[in-house]
Amino acid sequence: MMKKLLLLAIVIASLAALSASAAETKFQQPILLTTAGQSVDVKLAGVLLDRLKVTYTSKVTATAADLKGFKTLMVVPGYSSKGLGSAGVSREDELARVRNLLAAAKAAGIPVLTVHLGGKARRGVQSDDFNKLVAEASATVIIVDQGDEDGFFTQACAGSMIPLKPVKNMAEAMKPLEEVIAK
Amino acid sequence: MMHPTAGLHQRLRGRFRRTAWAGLLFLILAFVWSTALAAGAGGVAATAHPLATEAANEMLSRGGNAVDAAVAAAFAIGVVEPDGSGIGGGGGMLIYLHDQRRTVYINYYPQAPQDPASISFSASRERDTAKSALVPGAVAGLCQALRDYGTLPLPVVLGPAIRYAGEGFPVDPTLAGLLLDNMDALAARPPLAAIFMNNGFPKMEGELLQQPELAHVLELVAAQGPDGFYKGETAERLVEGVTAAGGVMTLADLAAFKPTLSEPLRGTYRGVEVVTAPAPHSGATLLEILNMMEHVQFESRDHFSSSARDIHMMAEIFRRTYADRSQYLGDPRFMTVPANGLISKQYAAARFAEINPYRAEPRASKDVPYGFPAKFENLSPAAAAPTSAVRPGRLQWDDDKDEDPGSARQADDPFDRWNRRKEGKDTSAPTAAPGTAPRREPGEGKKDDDFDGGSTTHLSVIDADSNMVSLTQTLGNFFGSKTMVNGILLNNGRVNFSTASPANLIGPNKRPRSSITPTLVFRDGRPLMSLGSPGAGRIIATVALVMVNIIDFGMDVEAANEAPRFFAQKFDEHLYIESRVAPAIVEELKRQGHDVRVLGDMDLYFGGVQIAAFKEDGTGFVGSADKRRGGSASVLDAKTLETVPGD
Repeated sequence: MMKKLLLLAIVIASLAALSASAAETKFQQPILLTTAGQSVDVKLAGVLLDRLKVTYTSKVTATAADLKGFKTLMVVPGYSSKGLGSAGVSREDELARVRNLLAAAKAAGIPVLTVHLGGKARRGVQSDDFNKLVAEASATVIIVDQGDEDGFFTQACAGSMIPLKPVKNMAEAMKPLEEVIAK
Repeated sequence: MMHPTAGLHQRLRGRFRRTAWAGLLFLILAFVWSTALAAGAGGVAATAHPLATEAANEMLSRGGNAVDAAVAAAFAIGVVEPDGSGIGGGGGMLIYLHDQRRTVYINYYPQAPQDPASISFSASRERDTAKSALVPGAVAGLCQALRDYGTLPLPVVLGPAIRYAGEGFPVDPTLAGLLLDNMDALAARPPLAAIFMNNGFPKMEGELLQQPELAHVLELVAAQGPDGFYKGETAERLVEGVTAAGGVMTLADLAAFKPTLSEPLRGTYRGVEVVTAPAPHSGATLLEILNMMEHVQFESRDHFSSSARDIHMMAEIFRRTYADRSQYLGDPRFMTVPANGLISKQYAAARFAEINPYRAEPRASKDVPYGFPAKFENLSPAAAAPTSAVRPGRLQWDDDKDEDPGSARQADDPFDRWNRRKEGKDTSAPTAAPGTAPRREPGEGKKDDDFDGGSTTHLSVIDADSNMVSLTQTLGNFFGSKTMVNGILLNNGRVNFSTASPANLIGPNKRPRSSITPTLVFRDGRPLMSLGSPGAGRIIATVALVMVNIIDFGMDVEAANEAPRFFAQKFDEHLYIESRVAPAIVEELKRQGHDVRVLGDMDLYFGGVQIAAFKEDGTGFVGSADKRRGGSASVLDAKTLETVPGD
């Protein structure tokens, strides 16, 4: 009995340590900012970074080659047919780009910070492929809480114990961003 | 022995159960009443926003008729769906008066100023500026409809709109998405940012949106009628604001705006009568489509989306009818529109005979020829067998040589047929002297006309006396010209004029061609349905598809509204289709030569159809609001009408 309790305590302690280490991920500058789904939300993330005086470069069509010199990849997921049209790419092309970019970031040891700002407007069939893909590859996810009312992001993050930081609205996303981005 | 309070407890429990059941019943009834599919027995309204539907219901409850309800909803929708329409824009309203068995059409679409050539204008670069604003017609049109065909006083009908503007309303999901998508444009314009943004970020679903300046203008209209908009304080501020921002609008332009009353177009589709909007709006194209559809033997039994051949045939019909639309529809006050030819059954038969049932032909949509309806203009329905409807060997708007004697496109035109600037051509100066032909301005119309925007709104109303209204109104593109003066978001109707189509050149006091297609349907002389859609160029095809769903495939209005849609036309090389269509069908369409683009499963691109209809068994009404656009349909039953006190 004592052995079982000890084993359980060790498992819990290990999980807590893992969780704590994930929560403590600090994202270094400079940051490469991009979209997953070509929604204009990426510009809102840029506004937040500007207000925090963070060093970043925004490129909506960033590929693996663009990662060079950056210490963090920040992705803003959300499908926009208008945005895809402006970029001249199909949804499938965009999914492939994001998939390749995330894989390259992982290979290069560059952590991914996901910021979902669009709330319910960036949920649904078209957006959720991007949302899931990006969230599951992230070290931290910041989300405007109405985008997670159904627990979609909570579930996506739970499997890998990815810290999920909900905020009430877009402007409030400043606070967790300030906390997780290293000065 | 029973406890002395046991009886009391039992009675209380019984009362509680009854109350709970009553509450549950109320909730179920409330849900049924407010859900997108609604059925009842006293009146029905379908709009793109629950609050606009509520405004319509309020008027019906006060004893108003369908016109009262539609006008109230039209003013209200301009407040709660400010991206799609409003008093800075205009539209068209089809009214059926049952006791007179009469239908009238009011065109209150924005109108060019008296001197449109006094400024240069590039539709591609300046569509989001005051230069693109035409003289708004909404207030004049809606007030005239109410005066001539309504029953309630204007202040009562304007009540909901004033309330929503002044007190505010929560942002709905559709508007939240649009605010996000248009964030750049809104953020760059302080008057718009002040209303639609919060702390530098677009307002999200559920946030309160108030428009106090707009409420003030609406109050002036309530007090003074159209003069509250077209004269005095509002007019002066409009002129000042538009002029200061580089546009052209004078007090005389505003005072000159008069809605146009005209006879609607009439046709039939497989036995039902279709009454729809005349030129420069696009009912003629709807009827041409339906006339050609009568020749389609649908391969699929359940729905056309399960057959590549059916979609192909309809896409080929769309490509041809949209070519005709571009060629022939314009403001009939300034030109002759061959409407009778365009909607004749013989012309449709001849056009249908051009279609290759196995592949897209010609392959490129831009090469689809327009037809020649003039020769069918005066044919009676029983006239001779069809002949070729197409000018042999003629393709429209050849880039390199324009041999069409009727074309206004000149050899020195600085723009090609797609409005791309030709090498070495000056686009900064007007091309014709004032006082001659209407001056065509470089850059007018990006490609052909109004195909890029997805904006606009539609609402349908039927009242207890079987009066019907079908109303479509717009600001042009989403948020119009993105120019706000005195709380009024102005249209960008000028981009709906064209350089590529002589029928649709800009001119003094002219109204542009528009895709709006408000429509009414009758069976055996009895009113059956009011419907229409927003969605720019897709409007016409979308209305046709929904009618096919109901008439050919026997769907109820809700199923017809939800069914997968597609779109093709002359001025776009793609066939757009919703993702619910099976991949095998998409592949087959590609093999047939269509350049297919798959969009969302219920994509806003394909419009937002609002339907008000009589139930087939005549026992009441049914309504449907398109789920692609977050609308709301509700039926007000006879009991509700009796219990709600009048004004």
